[in-house]
Amino acid sequence: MITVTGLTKSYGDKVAVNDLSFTVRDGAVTGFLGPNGSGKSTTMRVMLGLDRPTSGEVLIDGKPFRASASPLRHVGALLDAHAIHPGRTAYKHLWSLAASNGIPRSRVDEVLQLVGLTSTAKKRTGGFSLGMGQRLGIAAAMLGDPSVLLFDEPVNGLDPEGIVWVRTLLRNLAAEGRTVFVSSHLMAEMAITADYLVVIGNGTLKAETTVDGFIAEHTTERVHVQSPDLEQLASLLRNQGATTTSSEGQLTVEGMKAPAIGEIAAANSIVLHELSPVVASLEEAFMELTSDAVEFHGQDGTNK
Amino acid sequence: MTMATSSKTNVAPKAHFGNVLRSEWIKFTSVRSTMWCLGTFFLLMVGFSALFCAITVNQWAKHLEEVINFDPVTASLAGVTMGSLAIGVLGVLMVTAEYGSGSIRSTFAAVPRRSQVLIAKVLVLAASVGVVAVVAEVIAFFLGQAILGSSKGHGHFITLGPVTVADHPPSVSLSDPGVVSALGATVSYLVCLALLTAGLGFLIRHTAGAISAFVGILFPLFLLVVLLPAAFRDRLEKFLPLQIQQSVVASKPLQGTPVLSTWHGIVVMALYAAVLLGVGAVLLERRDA
Repeated sequence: MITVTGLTKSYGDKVAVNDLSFTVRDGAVTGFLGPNGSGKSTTMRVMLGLDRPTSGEVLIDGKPFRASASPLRHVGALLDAHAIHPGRTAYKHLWSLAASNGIPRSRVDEVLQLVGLTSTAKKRTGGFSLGMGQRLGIAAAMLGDPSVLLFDEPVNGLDPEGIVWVRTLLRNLAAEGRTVFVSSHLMAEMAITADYLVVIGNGTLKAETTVDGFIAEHTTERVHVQSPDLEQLASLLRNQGATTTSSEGQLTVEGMKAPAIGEIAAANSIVLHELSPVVASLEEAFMELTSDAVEFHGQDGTNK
Repeated sequence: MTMATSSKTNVAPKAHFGNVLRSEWIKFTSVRSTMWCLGTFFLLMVGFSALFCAITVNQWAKHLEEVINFDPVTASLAGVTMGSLAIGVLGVLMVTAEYGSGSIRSTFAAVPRRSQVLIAKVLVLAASVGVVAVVAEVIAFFLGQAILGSSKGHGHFITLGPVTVADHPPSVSLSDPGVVSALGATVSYLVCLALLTAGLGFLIRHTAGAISAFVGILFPLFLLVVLLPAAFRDRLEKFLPLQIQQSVVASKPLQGTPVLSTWHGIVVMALYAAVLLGVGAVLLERRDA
């Protein structure tokens, strides 16, 4: 379990993370969501003792990471896939890390096989694609067979097959009882992969919830209806407790599902031209939640 | 699909210093820059020294000053000034390459006790530079003495102003006084220089910045001190690394310029390295990686 308590980290005048508190549970995948520059990587660096918090603390299984006697066997991390000496081979990179914690050399071959890099292990990493770099980073995280895993944007640069592979890996690691903490700026990816969500924007906590809870809270199902007898249908639906709004010959219904609307229409012999459920996407909900917190707004290309 | 995420060999010996040392050795020997720097050092040390000795044989007894100050050991180690540049770059790169690539974070995530990393790097660097320097110097020495001794002249003597000298340069053997001491001191000087530059690497953390600082300490600082009024210059000049180098490669006391004795020079170099590494170690614990 990872416990973040009142974590604040400033770099000079800039506050990267502001009074952040949350917990990451064992045996589950916890997604760490936030726009670019919202403080995700900073938080993960503090978790690993790489950056010193301005105030607050992070405890991993009750202790600061820097106190760990066998760090790689306790916490494995993928921070930045390209943070590898480009002139060193993948094999030597992993071997040097394994050696530092007394992990046998045979484990290097195991993790290379796990991530599918066995055939390129003797190549210098300078020529690696971003996707290969991610796989090597995951291999490094797995070296010590750790009980806690931190992954910073692990699917960046991966092809669709690689994305499915990472998703399956994360699910399996959590199923084995490990603590899996994975950051992403893609809500849709986290909705599939994670059990819990920690959402931050501008360095502050925006939500800490289950994925199911987040979906239920932030998505309202609406149904678009078109019919020649729109007025009559609308009043029937309102009588059944639905909310309706109409514009340009189209009715938008909230609070009632499409099959129920269809049955009411049929019972009253009302012709329907369209009956289509519209689910507000999680991506929209996520953007709404963090919209005040996006540091780098792109322009939409129109001159206003 | 099942995935073998678990290691079967899950015995957990505690991370101890020997492991960190081994890790640093693997890192040091698995990048090309190490071989380039040590290879360049070797070639400059042996090649430049041999060239210098050959020119000495050819130009012997043209200038009084050169003849009376001539030290066969110094001549056969003439490549040390150029070679030390490669050693300095090696010391810098061993540290800054990790900061430049960002892999220092992997290192510290694996070994959170950062001072262990610093000490392991220092030991690996000192041992490697020491061994390569011994080999290069011994080869440079014997090659240099062979070249110096190859000219037997015509058995004449040349009169240069107040002195009369042989018509060929003198050469020495390993057993002559001061020779082994000069070779040992030069190895020590190079090891200290490597550690000093590793210290610069830990302080500055950028390759270009740290190499500039190293070259700046060797040459511009030297010029600056030489330009000072004589009273200050004589007091400061002997503490400059280049000046210390002049005294360590010599098998007999230098005439003219004020210098520290050979082993005092080594102690001063070791202090420079210790201070830079000490400050580097303190900052290493305090700064964000």
